Amino acid sequence: MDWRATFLLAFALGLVLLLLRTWQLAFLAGFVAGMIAPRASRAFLLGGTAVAFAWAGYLVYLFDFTPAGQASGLLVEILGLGAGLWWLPPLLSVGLGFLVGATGGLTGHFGARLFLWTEGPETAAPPKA
Amino acid sequence: MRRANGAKFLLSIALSAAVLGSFSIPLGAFPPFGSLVDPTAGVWTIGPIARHPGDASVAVEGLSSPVTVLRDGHGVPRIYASSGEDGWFALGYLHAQDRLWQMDIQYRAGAGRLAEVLGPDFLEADRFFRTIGLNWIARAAAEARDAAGELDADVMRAYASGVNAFIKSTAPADLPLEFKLLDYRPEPWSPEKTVTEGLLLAWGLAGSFVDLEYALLEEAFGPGAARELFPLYPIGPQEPIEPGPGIRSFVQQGLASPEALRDILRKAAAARAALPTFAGAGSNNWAVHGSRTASGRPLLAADPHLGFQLPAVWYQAELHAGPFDVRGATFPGIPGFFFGTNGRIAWGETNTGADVTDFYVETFSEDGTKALYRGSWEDVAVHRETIGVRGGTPEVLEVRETRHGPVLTEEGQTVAMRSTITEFREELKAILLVNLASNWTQFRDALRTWRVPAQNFVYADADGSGGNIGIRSNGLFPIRNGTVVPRVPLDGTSGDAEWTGWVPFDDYPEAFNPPQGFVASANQVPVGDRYPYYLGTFWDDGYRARRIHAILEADASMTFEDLRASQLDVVDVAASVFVPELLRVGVARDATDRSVLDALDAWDFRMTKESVASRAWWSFLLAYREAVFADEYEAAGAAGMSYPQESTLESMTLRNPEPSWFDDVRTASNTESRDEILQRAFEAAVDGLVAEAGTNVSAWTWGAVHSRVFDHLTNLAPLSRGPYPSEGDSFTLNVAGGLSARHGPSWRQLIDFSDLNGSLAVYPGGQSGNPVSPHYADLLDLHLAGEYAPFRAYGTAALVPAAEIESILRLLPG
Repeated sequence: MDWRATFLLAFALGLVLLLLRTWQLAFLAGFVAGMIAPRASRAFLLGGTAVAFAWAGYLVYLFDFTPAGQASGLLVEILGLGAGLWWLPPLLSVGLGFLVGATGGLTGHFGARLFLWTEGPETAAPPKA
Repeated sequence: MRRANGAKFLLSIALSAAVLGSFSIPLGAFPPFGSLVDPTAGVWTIGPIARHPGDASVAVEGLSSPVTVLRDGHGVPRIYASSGEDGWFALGYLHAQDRLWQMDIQYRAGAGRLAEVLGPDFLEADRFFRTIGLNWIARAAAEARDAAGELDADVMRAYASGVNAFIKSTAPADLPLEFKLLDYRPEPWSPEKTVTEGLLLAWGLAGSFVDLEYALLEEAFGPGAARELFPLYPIGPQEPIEPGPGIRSFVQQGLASPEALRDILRKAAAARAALPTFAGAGSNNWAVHGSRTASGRPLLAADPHLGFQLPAVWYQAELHAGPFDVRGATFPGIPGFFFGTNGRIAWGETNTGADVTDFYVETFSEDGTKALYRGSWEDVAVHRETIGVRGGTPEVLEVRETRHGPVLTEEGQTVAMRSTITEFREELKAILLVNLASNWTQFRDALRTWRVPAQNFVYADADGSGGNIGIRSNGLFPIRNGTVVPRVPLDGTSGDAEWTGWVPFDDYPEAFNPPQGFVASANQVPVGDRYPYYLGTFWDDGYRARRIHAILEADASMTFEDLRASQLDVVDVAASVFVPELLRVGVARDATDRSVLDALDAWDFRMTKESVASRAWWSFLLAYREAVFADEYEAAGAAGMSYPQESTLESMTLRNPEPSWFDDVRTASNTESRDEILQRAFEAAVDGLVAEAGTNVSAWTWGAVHSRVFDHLTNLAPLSRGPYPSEGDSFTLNVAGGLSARHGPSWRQLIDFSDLNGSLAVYPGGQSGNPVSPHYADLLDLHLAGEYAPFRAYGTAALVPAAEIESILRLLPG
């Protein structure tokens, strides 16, 4: 599977997992991307960016159609920062999503190599009959 | 290779665990970062739920029939249900939907469970409330009411079911912001929690430690001087509800050590600071008979003065369910309309402020297990309270209780407290029966079970020619044996200062259709100095009551607009007394002084934001009080303690101008007179204003230094509102005490019996506790502008005009 397809798969999974409203589950989206990615670095990047984009997409929708931006501004003010930094919490959220997806990707990549195949899926020997 | 992959796999697991773990756990007081920025469960989830859906249907367990809720343009719900129980269920659901965190934190304050969620800074408040025992009292009262199986028990059960239906249907991700910031979840609601909130309200209005402050003053000044400063009966013009015969002579006794008194006062202050709702509690209400109104029908005004807070103290609603057709102000957590009208009668309350709390100096045995009483040793009861502490070890508090009540201190002496709060039982039943009442007899009978806190209930109806008006100071008033005036802690061992009974219900101060054609209360002494029972000695100054009387006496044909204007009145009667005295003696040192005196001379005593004279007056008053009392207080070691009320200072100034108080004790070779002190205070005030604001007198506006502030219950600034430059002061009907007023009219209602749907109401806040909701503080804007919202009712949902429906909620039996 080429990297675009992997990315789209993880992105879709990342979106679907949002329905469960538990941010830690985004790890699984990265994990799946990592299982497929041929290299650890690609697993890290694909897993991270897929989740980050999924979260970013959802947050853009939320901020466009609800007063979520106001709530974000309240949070930064409560933290002692200026309300003009309202964009910081969603940015941090996307950053967190990247981290979760990226570490998920790494885990999926090395886990797949340990338990499923010894080389990348593109070069793995076919299972013995 | 495999081994390498294994190591890398374990490393990636560890890295993932570190990322997931570190963002999932709280960091000290800070909630888990991950939960705050979770896209679907973080703080911004309050955004999508900020507006109620235009038309929603929700299936809930516990309803017998569908309920329709129509919210108006301010989010005020009109509830239509076929049975009373379903209606109260719906109110519980709506209270939870709009104010769940407020309900939770108010309950926790009363139950002594704040530290569980707010941390060790609130332990002192929790210790206090656990000591006075609101939680035990609530438990006993809830059980008793449940066993009695009467109206209030049914209503509390239905209400709790509604609250719990909302909690159950709400994902943790959609809880109010405060739960997310504090990282905890609401517990199920229960009748006991409703009673706890009622007790908190009662304690806030009835609990008083003024006896202890007075005892400290007596210790400093001696009994004679202390009584001059704080007379047994307010000096000067008063406007009691019921003038009448009474008893004049009392005997004082004071025994407690200052250490003990200061310890209790410190604990009480910590508890008050934890929940500001009742800081400076007081209120206004009045009703005018149809014989004195332009329409020929009664008018009624009520505005309770409580803390300015967000979410607001009150929640407005309208209920048509079974026998209930009522609209007005409810208290989140309690099913019942404390202010409002049911179309037949209207009502409101002010705090009576009677003396219903006494303190007893106890003598304990050496092992602390027994207390001496009338020569015998009696067992001391011990309660063990475990107080949870967020982020810390639970604390076990041992509360000891004598026959008088809980022991509040053992610093220096052992002092216990007796309070009518322990008699709290059927107050909700009283309010519900008031909500159902159709006439004065039913209204009055409903109040038989209203014990705590004693309130001045104002009443009006439109029956017959001119309608009917009434007022009644209603609640338990203890009768003490002997001739003890319980202004100081009493001897707990002799049995000579005990509560022997209650003032009979039929002897409560009351006025019904009085000849003067109006009734009014503003926390003034409710009875003349010859009333046969002791009700207390510390009352409001009486300036607001005097102002109400002046307005109502002068207007024999009051219109609804007049009523509205009177509720927003900012004439300061105290100023009208003191300023002429200042002008009589005041000498200008220079042009600045001259400008100030000229401004005061031209002043109409209205405390408006733009007024220079208002600011000058207030500065002068503070300086005058200092000039008269500071020297004696300092000499007596009482610096920092409360000065006498302005009514006492008024009496000294006008009627007894040569007492020793005007003499400055620091100037041994000179004896200052009243006039010299007036001049000195004037000069100090002007000098202070110049230092503060320069010599441009026209810039010394009241609004530049006087404001109203609306703090969120968490005290977080971004969730609070203000300061807003404000009119009014401590003595005006439109009250805003101090320079940063944090208490005042928490609800305003104006009832017109000639056109009930023309009535008006407003409160400083909004229906929603969600800070990004358009209804978080929309009513605050009206309140600040001196405006009101329509206070209409429609008997059925079909009658409500489309223009008054912002959203529809249908609750369906699930």
